[in-house]
Amino acid sequence: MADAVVKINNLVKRYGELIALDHFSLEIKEGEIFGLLGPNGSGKTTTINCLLSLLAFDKGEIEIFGRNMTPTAYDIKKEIGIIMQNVAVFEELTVYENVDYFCGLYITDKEQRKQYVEDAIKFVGLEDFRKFYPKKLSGGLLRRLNIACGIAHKPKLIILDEPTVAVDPQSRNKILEGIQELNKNGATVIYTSHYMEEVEQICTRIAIMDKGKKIAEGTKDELKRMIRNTETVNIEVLGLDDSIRNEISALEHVYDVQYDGEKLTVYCSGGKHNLIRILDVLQKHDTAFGRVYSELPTLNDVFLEITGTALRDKEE
Amino acid sequence: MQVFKAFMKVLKKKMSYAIIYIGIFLGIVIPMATTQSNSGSVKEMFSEECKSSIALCIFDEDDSPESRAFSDYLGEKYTLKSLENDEEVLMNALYYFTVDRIITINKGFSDKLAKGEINGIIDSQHMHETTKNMLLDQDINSYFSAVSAYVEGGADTLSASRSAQDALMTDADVNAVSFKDDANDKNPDHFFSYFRILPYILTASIIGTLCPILMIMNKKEVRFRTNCSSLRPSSYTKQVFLGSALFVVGVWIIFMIAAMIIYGGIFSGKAWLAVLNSFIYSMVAASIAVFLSTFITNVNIISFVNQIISLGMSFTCGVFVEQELLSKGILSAARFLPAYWYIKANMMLDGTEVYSGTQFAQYLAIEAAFAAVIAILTLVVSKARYNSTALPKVRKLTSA
Repeated sequence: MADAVVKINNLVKRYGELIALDHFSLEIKEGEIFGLLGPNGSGKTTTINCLLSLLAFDKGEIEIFGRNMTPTAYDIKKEIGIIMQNVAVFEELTVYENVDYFCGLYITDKEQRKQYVEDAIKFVGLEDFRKFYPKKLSGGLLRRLNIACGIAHKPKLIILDEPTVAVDPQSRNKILEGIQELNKNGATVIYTSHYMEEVEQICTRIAIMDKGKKIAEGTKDELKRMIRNTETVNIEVLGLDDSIRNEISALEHVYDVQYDGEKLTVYCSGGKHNLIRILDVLQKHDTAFGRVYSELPTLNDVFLEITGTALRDKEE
Repeated sequence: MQVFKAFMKVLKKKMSYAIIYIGIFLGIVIPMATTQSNSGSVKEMFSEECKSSIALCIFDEDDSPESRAFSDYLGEKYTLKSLENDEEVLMNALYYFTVDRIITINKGFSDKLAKGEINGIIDSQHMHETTKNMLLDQDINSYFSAVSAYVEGGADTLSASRSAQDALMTDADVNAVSFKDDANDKNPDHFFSYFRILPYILTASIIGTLCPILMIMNKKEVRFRTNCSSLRPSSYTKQVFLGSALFVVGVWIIFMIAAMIIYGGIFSGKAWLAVLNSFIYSMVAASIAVFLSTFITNVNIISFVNQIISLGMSFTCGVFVEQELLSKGILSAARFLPAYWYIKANMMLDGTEVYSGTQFAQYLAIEAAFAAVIAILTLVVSKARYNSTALPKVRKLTSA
């Protein structure tokens, strides 16, 4: 079993009356891409700030690489790379100079640093933009520069705090692929986001946070198994009789049916061929229907079922 | 030295601001120094050369011995010119400075003078209110006052006129008194004027350049990433301090070299005290710049605040207008500003005030105290901001 790179035990952080982290515990193992998923204000960034000793906390313990994390634990900090939501670069320095500056905060050997900077620039695909100033870069390229600045010193633990906010889909995919590649190269990754699709796509293990608490943890499959829903069937149908709805509700594995006058949504728990059995009922009553599609549960469903609120509703 | 290197790179980008200020300052000071060295002093203004350059045209309608005596007196002191007695010719002569004054000695001049009546005995025309005309008015009034005094003393008008002429032609030996007591002081007269203007340019160029650089270095996101790194905060502070010090000292050296070039050669005597005074003031300007950069986040606001501080302090502390000409109220308020004490120290050096080593040292100490107080304020403000922005706040962690 891999060693724990990060251990958070019983962390409590208060802002006056507000409890930002409520006895939050977590263990992240070497080689994982660990996702911290939760709506805005759920405590993700507070966790990261505490983890980096940038924020004092009221109670709890944090260990990184088996050592107690403190503001003066420079040997630990040396192994951590941080990529924040906001681009943190100097407008007055070129792409190369920016990466060199941030790499130089960790790597003092000039030759080694030169190599690392080149590697980082190559990794994010900014080779042709070395002498460009940040304001000449597009939003996507700027994000890539932001990543290069965070990973140039080849950290063992990389923390990415919502790195894809306000990024176009193409750049987002590039970033996600890059994160997976960094992980393949040996880095443990902590990835915070409120985009469940991203977390689902790249994270090997996920913790869902809400109101400063961890409400669920596991692989995406483990999380999905925690909830009753295994399949959601959606059928576009007009003028559906209550008797037909009741008949569908009575089907085995169906635990909830909702109808808004245009779309029938059937929630199933376990079982196979749920869609066929539902369509059989409609055909039996000669009910015409339009588009039919079936959805597997998402992390949003997990969040919905555990908290009673959809993750996306919380964003609004 | 990554932070220092980055500081210098940013400085290179922002240096244009300082260069513009230095350029403007030197552009103003160099011609000023040149023109001031050639003319303009009060001593020169009262010189015989200056007086003789006043041109007069006299029309004597009385043609009496007394009127001729008056004309002779003016002719002795000023340059007399003959002009055609035509209105247009005379106006042109006045307008184009061919003559400074046209005097008409009216008929009945001698009779009125004998009675002690001065009003209306001459008509005087001039077009420009110049210093020369002011001097001439004073001189004519002195002449008539002297004649009247002699007449009242029992002399006849002609002998009174001659006596007045003799008396007024005698020069008193007058020396301009200065508190400048260093006989060996070879510094040019306007050397200290250069140092008087220096606080404005030091304040403006240091705040205008250093503030934006520090703001860039302390930009929240960049600082956050730096704080996450393995670089010790003390090392970061040292490197930024080194960069700032290098810039401030660099700007100060430029102005010192400029002073040497403009006023010819190495400083001597009290000039070194002016150099020391300006160095301490540079530290004050630097501390103001660092202080402003801790809480102002907008470059445009910095520019605005810079103008208020540099110009405001210059106008109220005697940088642009000498302290002697400022009201007591303004000077009372200015005592709370560092430039006031800089100027006080400079006034001792240029001879406006009596030089006292102890007093001079006190002025420098007050300036240094300003720098220290502002530095302490900076620490307080930055600590408060640091705590309020969820950035490093070290607290011993306990698990209950």
